[in-house]
Amino acid sequence: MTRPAQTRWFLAAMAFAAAARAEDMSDIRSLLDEHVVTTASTTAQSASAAPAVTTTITGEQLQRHGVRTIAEAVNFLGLGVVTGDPLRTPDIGARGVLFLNDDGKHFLLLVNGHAINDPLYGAARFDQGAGVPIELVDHIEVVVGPGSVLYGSNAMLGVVNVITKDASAYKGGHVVAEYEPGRSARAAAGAGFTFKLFGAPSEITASVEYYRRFGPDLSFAYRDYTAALFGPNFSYTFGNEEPGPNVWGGTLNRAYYSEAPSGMIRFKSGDLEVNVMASAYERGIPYATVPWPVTFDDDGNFELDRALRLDAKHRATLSRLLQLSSRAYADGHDFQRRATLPGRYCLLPAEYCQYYDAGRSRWVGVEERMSLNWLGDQSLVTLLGVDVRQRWVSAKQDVLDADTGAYLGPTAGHLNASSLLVAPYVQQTYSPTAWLDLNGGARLDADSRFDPVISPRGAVAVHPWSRTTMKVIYSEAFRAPTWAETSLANRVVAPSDGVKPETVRSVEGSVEQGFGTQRLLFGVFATRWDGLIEPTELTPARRAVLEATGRLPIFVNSTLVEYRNVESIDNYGWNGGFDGSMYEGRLRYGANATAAVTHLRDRPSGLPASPRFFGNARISYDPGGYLPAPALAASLIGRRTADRPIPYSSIPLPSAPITLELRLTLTGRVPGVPGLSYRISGDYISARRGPYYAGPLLPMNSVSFEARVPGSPLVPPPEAIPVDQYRVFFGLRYDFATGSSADAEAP
Amino acid sequence: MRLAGVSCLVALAVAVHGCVDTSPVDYRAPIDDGGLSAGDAQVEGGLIRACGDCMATSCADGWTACHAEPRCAAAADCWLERYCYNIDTANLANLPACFLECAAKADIRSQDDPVVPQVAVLVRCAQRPEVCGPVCNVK
Repeated sequence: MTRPAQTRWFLAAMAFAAAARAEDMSDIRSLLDEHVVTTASTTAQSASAAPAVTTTITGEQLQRHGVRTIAEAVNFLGLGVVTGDPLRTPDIGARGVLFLNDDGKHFLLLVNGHAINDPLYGAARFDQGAGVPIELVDHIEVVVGPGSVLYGSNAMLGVVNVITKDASAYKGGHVVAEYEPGRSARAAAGAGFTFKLFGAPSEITASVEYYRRFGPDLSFAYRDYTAALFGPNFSYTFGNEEPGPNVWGGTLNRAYYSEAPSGMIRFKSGDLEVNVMASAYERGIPYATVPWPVTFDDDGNFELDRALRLDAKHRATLSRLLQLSSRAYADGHDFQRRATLPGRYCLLPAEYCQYYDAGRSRWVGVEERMSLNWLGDQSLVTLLGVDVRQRWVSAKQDVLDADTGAYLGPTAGHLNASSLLVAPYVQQTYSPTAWLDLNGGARLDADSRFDPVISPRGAVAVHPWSRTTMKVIYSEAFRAPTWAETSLANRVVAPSDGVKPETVRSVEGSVEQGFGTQRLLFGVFATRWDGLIEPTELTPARRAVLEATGRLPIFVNSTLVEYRNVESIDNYGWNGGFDGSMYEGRLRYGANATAAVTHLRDRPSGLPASPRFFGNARISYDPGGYLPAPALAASLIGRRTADRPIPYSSIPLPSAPITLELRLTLTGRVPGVPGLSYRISGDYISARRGPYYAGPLLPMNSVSFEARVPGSPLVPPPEAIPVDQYRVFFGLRYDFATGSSADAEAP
Repeated sequence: MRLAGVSCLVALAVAVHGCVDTSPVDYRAPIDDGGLSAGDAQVEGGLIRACGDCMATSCADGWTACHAEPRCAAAADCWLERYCYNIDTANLANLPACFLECAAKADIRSQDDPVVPQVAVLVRCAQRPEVCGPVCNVK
């Protein structure tokens, strides 16, 4: 071989070796980047092998992209999940299904595996009301699709599991202050440290957070209802500053507020882990919604959640084969709402009446879980568990004179009930070869309030070649009717008999391919929802039955609703995601998209406020040192129908426009001050109006009204709520006593 | 050890229990109602007796069942004595004070009181035009 030829071969060999090394390095990096998830099967496994489509949003991403709530996290960084903001507390939906004013009932929220949704209302909050200080979040696992197989009720759209940091990731003390001019302020403090307790490695992480929203001012055009009313006897007064009676609207500068203190302590010692969470969340009711035309911009209208939660877990590895996990938990949650209305609307002589709703839930439970690792290598594992939960709920509704505070009638809707839930479950995983993972399981929820529900799931994952995973998943889930839906009977809600759990069945398939430090996912899904519970007007026949059996209270409104299983939905579509990194992880990027078609089976319309298409994209670069790290995130939500029709008319409201939200965030360390870092974030939303509509729906005789004004309603159409288009926040964080990792941990 | 842990959890839950009061309020209705009631000439003219007779015969089952329960009987008789069955049940604003006073006198503080279904039978009997409405529901 000639020397030039030898040189060419040598260079080629070197180049190949370098490429191979680079490939090895990227493979190693990709393995390091592969997220380990626990939510889908309750055991740690790679996201690609999990029996559900799972997205992991890391705490580093939350910091990098200026994310401060779970809702923002899923909008900017999640796959298949989207939220809507009615200026109250977010609605959360997935894959083209989003229910209005749902209070998170169809998504199960977990914090370190502890279920948050309460049994009285089924509610979970995905904003600051979630009660988890955001700096304490290690990562968020978002499982899309039915997940009742291991978690029971509420996991219909999916499961969001917030995992908080260990002391090793939160070492030392941390103080954070953030300010959003004209809008909000937030302060948080926390610490994490390790120690030995009775010889066992132990640790405590703790954090407290206080958030307050005080703006911005929002404007609604004046709407005069005088022409729509039946005469002077039907005069309404909506608030204190409107130009006259029957006129609704103006500028909101008091009622759009919220306040959310929260705290959390996590203690670990050996195999024992204890979590204590406490939170309160008060939020104004800034505008009138159906069915209540609350007084405009009245900061006396509010909702308040308070919760105290305790969760203790213990894991015992009894042998190579057998592992036992025990969990005991207790929760207390209460809710209050004060809504002031024009007195005439309450049919009471006071100028303003006020409905006061109070509800309280308590529940305690024990969960025992046994894991049998038959072959000792996790290839054949049987999981057996049982969750036993006792729940107590109580609620009532009072009506008061808003000015004097005097009661205007006896208590309505008084509820005092309890129920026992026993839920055994089983899961079998089997990996007979390196290219095949099988997962099957089912959970039986036996609740004294309704017939037992079985939630099965089966999943097959095939790895035909390197870093390729193909999955097919069948799963079912349910949502138990809440007590508020079955048992509350007050001035507007009749007792609801025979309400059954809602159910959902889903089939989905996905392909995931990794190449270098990139990952690509594409999946399709088809979902069928049955027995969705909705308030429906009480029919005369049904009312007669309730009257005949003496079950209808005397003090009721003339129009009553009851909850019934009425709606069914067919839903199918696709979702895809891409993420990766370059330059040793300094440059990170990703994108997700979901498209879905959703049909209400008995109605020609789609689901209001549910987008058919939505997605997000992000890119960030960490230059290292003291240079600021820029991060850009975008969220796109497609056109959505309005949340209600024009009252007493067949005319549809206009749909909400496509909404693009851009967020640019800069994070970095402050030179010369070890431990001090900053975060500056600016937000732009393209749409001026959201899909939610505001304005009172007055109790008028619709038939007479249509007859008087055919095709041209005099009732002013409601107005789409304004969107806060431009926002900026900036914050400082100080990490101290963190040892050598202080600078590394700072954003 | 585990039992102790669970006991602590229960204790915590009980502590939380006290946060919000969901008990029914002790409602006292105002005195003046302004509607047709006992004392008016028309009522003194025999409507009270006619109303009572009608319910005792036309709604005998409900009448008997109610009078077997002291609280129900107290409310029912009080409403009759004050000619207070002539209410508009669809309109809370028009509930006369006598109606709520009698309910309070019978210790009926909440609409989910077990007695309410029993008295409701009589109220509806008194209201229906085809039963006792013509004599009990004169406004």
